[in-house]
Amino acid sequence: MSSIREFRREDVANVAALWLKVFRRRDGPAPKHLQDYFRNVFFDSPWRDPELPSLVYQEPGKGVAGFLGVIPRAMSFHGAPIRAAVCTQLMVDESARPSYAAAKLVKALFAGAQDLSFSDGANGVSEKLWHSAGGSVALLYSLRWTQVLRPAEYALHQLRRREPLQRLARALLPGARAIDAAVARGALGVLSRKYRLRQPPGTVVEHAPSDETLLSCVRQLCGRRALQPQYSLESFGWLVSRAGDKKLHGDLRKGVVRRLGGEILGWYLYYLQPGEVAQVLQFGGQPGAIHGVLDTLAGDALRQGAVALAGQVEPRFAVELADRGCNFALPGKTPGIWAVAHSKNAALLDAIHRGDAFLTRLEGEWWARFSDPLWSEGAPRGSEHLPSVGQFFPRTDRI
Amino acid sequence: MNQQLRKFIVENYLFGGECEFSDDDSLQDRGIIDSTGVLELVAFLEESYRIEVADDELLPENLDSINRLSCFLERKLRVAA
Repeated sequence: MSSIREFRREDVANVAALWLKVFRRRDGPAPKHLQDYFRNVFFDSPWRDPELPSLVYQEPGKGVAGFLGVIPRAMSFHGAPIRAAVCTQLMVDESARPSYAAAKLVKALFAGAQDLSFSDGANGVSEKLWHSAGGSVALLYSLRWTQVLRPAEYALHQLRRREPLQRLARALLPGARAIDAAVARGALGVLSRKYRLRQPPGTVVEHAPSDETLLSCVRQLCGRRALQPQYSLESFGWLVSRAGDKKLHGDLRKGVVRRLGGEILGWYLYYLQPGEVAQVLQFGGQPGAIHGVLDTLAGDALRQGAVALAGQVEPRFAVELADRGCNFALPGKTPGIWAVAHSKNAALLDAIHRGDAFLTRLEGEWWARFSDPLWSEGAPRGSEHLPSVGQFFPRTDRI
Repeated sequence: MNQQLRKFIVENYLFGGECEFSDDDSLQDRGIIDSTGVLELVAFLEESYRIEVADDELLPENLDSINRLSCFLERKLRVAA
């Protein structure tokens, strides 16, 4: 008989080694810092709940052959507290020939005590598995937006993603920078008008705001959604701190946009790496002020050297994003990262499917640093830049 | 029963394409049904034959070939009758 049981602290070394084997194709023990990270995320989070454990799959007499990580989260649905299980890192070692381990792990997860199971990092395999077990794709929360800030450099950025064209992209970079500088100066007519950023008058930006300030933004300005997160200062601080550890997309920048008198209009958190696409973790604000918040965010990213901004669509602000000329796209086949949800409460699922939920990348698992190249020390060259396949939710080979 | 099971597998996992496999062939070893697909197969069994497949019955011994599926189904239907 095979068995699924809760993840225990004494499993950390085995599970971290399994993770390296499945996701990074490395055999052998996991380095201490990876084990520490597993321990921190799955055992030391402020939402740790013995009733919502991560799951391991183990057959008698054999080692751990499968894992499904669960990060419990406190949320509310129409004001009543609920428990959510954010799922991550589903993995199975197929070489151990486990019997349908992935399917069993997902079924066991859905039978758990949580009101909602959610992930914003399911690849195509996981999405299919999730769907087969009775879950569904949260289409609105799978939608991504991109706002181009430096059109010429962004075009080269896209070229650079294709290895044979990387040298060409490097050679064209000085010319692209000159074009973007001309766009910014307003010297290129229609193009300049298209990419002109309108700085909101009468506002100031508070850089590096405290956790207290950011939390008050989330509490007061995330809008009245049927489903929304419930943070204490401790849990929010822990989460923002963990998000700040993630380095895949650069450094985490935070900003709070205020009127000159001090009133908060909105906030944003995003990852910045000059020359790359800045990744927005979360933003929000007063309903009438979102334009200004987005413009301030874009202006900051532009000044810091980002070529574009990208994020997960916040359904309530889709119109404002469209007004800014953002492109919208659902995940493609590669990397194809989807948001998925499961609940026995149909009303709760319905709220998600109609976009009445505050579920940003900070509420899912996107902030976790499993995708960081740091863990790939000693891995084959280039594997640290594999697309998201194998970095977020499961990369499962033949499961 | 075997024909019905084969039809479902060919239509849903091989998309109607050609793939020679016997009733004894392992569906996992032949790469026809993996851990992802097994839940769809279980849903088909539960819906078509009005049975319930328990988690501890998700085993290759029950599901990994047409003949094994057929025997498993017969057992379940006998118990249900």
